[in-house]
Amino acid sequence: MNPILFFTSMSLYFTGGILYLLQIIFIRSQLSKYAFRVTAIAWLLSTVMLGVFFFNQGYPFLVNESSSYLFSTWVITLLFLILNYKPQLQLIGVFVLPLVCIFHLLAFFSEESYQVSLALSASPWASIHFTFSFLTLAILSLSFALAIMFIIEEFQLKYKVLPKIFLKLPNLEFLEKIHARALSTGFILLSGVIITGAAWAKSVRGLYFFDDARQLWAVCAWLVYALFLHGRFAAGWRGRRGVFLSMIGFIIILFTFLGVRHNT
Amino acid sequence: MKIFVLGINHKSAHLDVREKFAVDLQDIPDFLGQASALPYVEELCLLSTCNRVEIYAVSQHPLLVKEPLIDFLAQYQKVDKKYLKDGTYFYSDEQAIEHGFAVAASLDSMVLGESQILGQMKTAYQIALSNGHTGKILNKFFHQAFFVAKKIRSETEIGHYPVSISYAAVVLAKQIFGDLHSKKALIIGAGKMSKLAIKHFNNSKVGKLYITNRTESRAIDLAEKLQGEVIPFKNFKQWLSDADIILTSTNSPHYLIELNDIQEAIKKRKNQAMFLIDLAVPRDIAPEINHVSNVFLYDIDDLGDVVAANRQERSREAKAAFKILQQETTAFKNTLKQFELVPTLSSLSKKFENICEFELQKTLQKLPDLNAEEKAAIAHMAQSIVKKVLHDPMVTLKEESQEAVDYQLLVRKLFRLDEM
Repeated sequence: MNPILFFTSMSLYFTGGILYLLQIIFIRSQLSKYAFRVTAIAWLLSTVMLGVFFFNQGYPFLVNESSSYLFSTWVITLLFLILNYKPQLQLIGVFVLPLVCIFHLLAFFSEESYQVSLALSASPWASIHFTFSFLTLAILSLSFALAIMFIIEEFQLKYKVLPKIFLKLPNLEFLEKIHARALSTGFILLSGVIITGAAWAKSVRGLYFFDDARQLWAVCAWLVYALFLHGRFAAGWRGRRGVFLSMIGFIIILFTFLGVRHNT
Repeated sequence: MKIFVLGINHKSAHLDVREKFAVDLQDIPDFLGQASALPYVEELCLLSTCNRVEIYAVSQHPLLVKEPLIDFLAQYQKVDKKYLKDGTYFYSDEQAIEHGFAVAASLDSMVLGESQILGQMKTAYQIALSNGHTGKILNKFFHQAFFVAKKIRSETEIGHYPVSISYAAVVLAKQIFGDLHSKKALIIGAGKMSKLAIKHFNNSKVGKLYITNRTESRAIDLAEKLQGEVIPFKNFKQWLSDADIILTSTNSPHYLIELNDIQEAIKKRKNQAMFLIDLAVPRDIAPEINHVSNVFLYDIDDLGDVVAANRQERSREAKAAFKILQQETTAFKNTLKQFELVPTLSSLSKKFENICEFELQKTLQKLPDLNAEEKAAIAHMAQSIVKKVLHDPMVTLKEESQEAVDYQLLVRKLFRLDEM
């Protein structure tokens, strides 16, 4: 990975995050304008980095973690930039950009540490599986950021702690809706991850499921999300409890990505 | 020509005094008609609200107009002049401009940032304008004042924070539900507080209003006026699960809505958020209801705290607003000075052109042999001389109009412009 591109984009993402934080503290609309621009430039740099990766790598894509995390940061930032059309959603930048920074750092430092072996990555399912996985990670990260914002706003309303910034936040109902929507999308993608993962396993090992920690954890997270979505749409678990459940799901997802490895 | 303002407001005079001098809206044209007959009064406008009575006027000699105006106001309202002695303020020129802008931008209001005053000022101006009492200066002044008020409203957040209990409730409802179009509100009690709240909810276009009251006739009265549906007080609890917003303000000595009522309602609603507002003392809604998930209960003290915090926020915003106000005042004072120069500049050039024309005709009559081309050349030369001679003094006049020295007066005397 080109260190200059990495450090420039990294510092831009970081600056963007800081600017959004300052916007929350000082409430000056100029700040969020600058923050948006800085983030957009960082995203363009990410695009270039991703382009360079594809250009060097050729097929199969995204087989090492470095490019995959890069892909995740790219997707999260893109989605976040799109969400900026609603001025009140700009502030989730405070929660999104730190996550972006973490993934970006992971992209840089995981270059050497983990590479799917050639034999495994030869399967056509590998790239599809990786694309699905990191797309899922991106969407679920975004819904996690929305969940944090929801929890904070709900707390403020309930306990009547209403700081100046309060009126600038998106309304609670909208936040809850968009969180559930992001989560539904993430859930469908996660199903895709598990199916393509199984197909990949079948193609290289002849078995759909084998004794693999990541598969297990992914299925765990899938169950938690399934429970949340069932609760949200069928039983009407709106509000704090449902959102907490989705946050637990995300922590399992993070653990799946960062904490456990495929048995190779 | 100087702009000045004479008046009393909520800071300078007690309500007893203000109400004595407030002029009814329909009497204003008559008031203006009589007051404009006073000597030295050129332009005139009267702003009379419950918090202020102010006369905006333009005159060559504001100080000479001050006392007669006070006398006139006292005489017009048939009140002893002594009441006006301490309470009246008188500002002229820059101070008057700043004061007028501050009033329009609601920086001088009892409730900082309230929006009513701008509308009242516009009405006052319209009355003066349509009765022909305003001229170039007041027209410019009021247009600028309205512009400054808008600017302050958009560039600071002075009007953003709700400072009345019922409006704060509506703003909180919006923060929970967003658009209120698809929401239903249940109002229990038909007193003054309910009425105010309903007005605010109606302004925010709430989807549906249910109104109930122990004495049903009062609920019917209110519902007719404010487009709501009356429901029987006996079994209003059946409607609890249907309402997104519930506002209570009754004299009931005990809780009307208990914990289990809301627990049932929220179950029926599949846990969709509910916003409960309890404006009654003693309270109508059991306070432990706030612990139910996705139910938000605010009583009158909670809303009072919100309002108090918002008031502080507004006075903080007022500081930023005053900065804009000062810039705009200085800028407007300068435009006004430039504007005042116009007659002097035009009569100065007119005088020189007349001299030029007169002398040119005299000379040309003495030289009958010149052909048309030669005549034109001489005329052109004469006009250029006048233009070039006038150029420097005119530029200096414009530049120095900002200064304290009254060059304008000097020029008018020097060239005897007033004798033309």
